[in-house]
Amino acid sequence: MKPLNYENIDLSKLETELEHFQNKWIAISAQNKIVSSGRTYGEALEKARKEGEVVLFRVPPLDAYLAP
Amino acid sequence: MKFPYQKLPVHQSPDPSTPRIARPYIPVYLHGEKQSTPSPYYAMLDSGADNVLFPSDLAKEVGIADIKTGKGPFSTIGIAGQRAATYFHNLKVQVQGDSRQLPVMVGFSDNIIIPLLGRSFFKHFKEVVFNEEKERVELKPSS
Repeated sequence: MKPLNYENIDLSKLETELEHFQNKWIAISAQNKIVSSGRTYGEALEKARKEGEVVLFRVPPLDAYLAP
Repeated sequence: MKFPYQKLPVHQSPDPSTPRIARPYIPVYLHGEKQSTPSPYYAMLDSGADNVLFPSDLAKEVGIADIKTGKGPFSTIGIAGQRAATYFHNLKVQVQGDSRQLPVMVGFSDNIIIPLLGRSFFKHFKEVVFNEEKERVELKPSS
């Protein structure tokens, strides 16, 4: 399986898909593809078990600026 | 260690030429006493935040069944005045590509929606450089 190179992870290329995952965790593969999602980190990771190395991201609401 | 900013769409913008917002996310692992997150996840560097604050579901991944077993509740206040009851646990955060597991107090709350690395995390680095021109962040470990 392809090792994950973080230089290749580019969320701007997933822009259209991200819309559907607001407030959810997603798992992103080495090919910069969303391979699973879930309400929790654990749920998204469990669904991505067969996908090799992944990195997880919690998609924030996309209709607002952030000022934590 | 250098990490490119991640650009996310934002549905509102006073400047139509910038429909995406670049944010300094870095991939990290969280380590508990006996368990660690199996895969890295992106957390956002926030030089204006006092602490490391993570969504409560991450606590379960490192063996914390109930966040309320930590110190707290303490109030964490956001820029708009919103308060979140936060419980702190002694854990370790490891940046992808760094062998060090950095001891930090991690605050968990059900109301926190984005993993946030505040200044208690920054202190483990000699420099944290936000390069806006190149849209990347560089972490220079303390010697």
